[in-house]
Amino acid sequence: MIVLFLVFIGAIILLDKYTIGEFGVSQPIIAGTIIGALCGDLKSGIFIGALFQMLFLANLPIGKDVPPDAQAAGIAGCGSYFVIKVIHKTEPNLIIIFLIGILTAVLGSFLDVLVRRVNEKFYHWFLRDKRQLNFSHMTGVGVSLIRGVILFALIFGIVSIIGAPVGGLTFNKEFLMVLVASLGIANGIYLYLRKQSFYAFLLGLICALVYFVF
Amino acid sequence: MRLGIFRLLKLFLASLFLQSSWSFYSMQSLGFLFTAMAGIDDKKRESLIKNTRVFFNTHPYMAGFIIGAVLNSLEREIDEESLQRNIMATQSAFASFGDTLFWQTIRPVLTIIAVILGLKIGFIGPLVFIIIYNIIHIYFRFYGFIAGYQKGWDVIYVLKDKRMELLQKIFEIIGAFLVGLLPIILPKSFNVLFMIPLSGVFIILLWKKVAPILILTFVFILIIINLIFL
Repeated sequence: MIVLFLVFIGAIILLDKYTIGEFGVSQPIIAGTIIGALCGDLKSGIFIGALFQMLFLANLPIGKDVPPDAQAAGIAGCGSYFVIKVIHKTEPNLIIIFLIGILTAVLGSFLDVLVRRVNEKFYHWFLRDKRQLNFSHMTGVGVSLIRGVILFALIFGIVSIIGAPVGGLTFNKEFLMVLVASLGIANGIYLYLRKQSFYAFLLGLICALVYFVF
Repeated sequence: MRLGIFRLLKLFLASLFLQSSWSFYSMQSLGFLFTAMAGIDDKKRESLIKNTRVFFNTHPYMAGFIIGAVLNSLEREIDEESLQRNIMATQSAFASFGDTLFWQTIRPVLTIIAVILGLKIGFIGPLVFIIIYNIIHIYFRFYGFIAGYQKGWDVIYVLKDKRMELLQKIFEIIGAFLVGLLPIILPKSFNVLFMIPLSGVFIILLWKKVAPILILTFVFILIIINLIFL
């Protein structure tokens, strides 16, 4: 039941990536919060969402580029965590959750390319019969929804059958945090560190240092 | 000339579906037509569909500026050729501006805020992101249609507006501050020091413009090493 529920919720949230609205709901930290709240563990949802958010901070969808699917990764990572927790009744290993998310990001970008190719067919259909504008255009919503359903049914289905090894959680969690914080800092420096913003960066660093010392 | 609240709302709602049928061949062409249809009267719809074979691709939040100008041109019955030329000329300028402002600046800054507040306080972080991000995003969608419709193709000069530049600068400075502050999400332990060499490696990879997929592979290998040896 939880698998079906998460496949449905995940596919709906994923529509926000570019199909409908782009309100930012599909960003990993938000998707994680929503899934966490729906599954009754907000804290874990936010934590996993934050991990994937940092990993894909500078993942910019510019022009024709199809970057790894950060949104799908966040949903898959968070969803898998709850699938394992509910079905296998164990505390999932976060490293495995993280790997599932990374693999989903790659798989998601392949499916994204496929969706765009399908949409191309509908565009040619529109060129043949221009009265079909609304149909040709709105079919894209259905195609994207199907993409989400297929992607998450595959991921959550496999996770629910196989489960994930337990153990090593304490150190793994710390290692993961260090890894994603490093990625977040690197992404942030790449995006924002300019001459005029250098002092702001330094100020932030001093604040962080004060936090660690006291 | 006025847009009217109902027409504006119709345009706004239609623009939410701008990228629904995104494809490599036509990009947002169908979305562009679908949105523009919501803003013109029935008599002109058929002619727009029949005559327009526009290749359209811009930043989704900035599309309103161009579609507003298109509606203005259609009402002034500007010829098809100059309409197409203007669309082609403006879309990349708005695309590049929107990509830099939203994808590269505002969204990452607000997500860092969401992450820090989310991990330290709770759901307030994501809530702050959703509220602030969508106030700015929805404002741009509405303002785009209004400005485009009122200014026509002069709407391109909106990009030179000092306020836009200021908005970008403010978010860049906040972003830089937050990046410096980011280590506070980590637990107070010795392992924090690993962050320094790791960040260095990632910065080099990003600066060398290594493909995201290769960076992900590198992360994957690090995790596997951790799983096997630690």
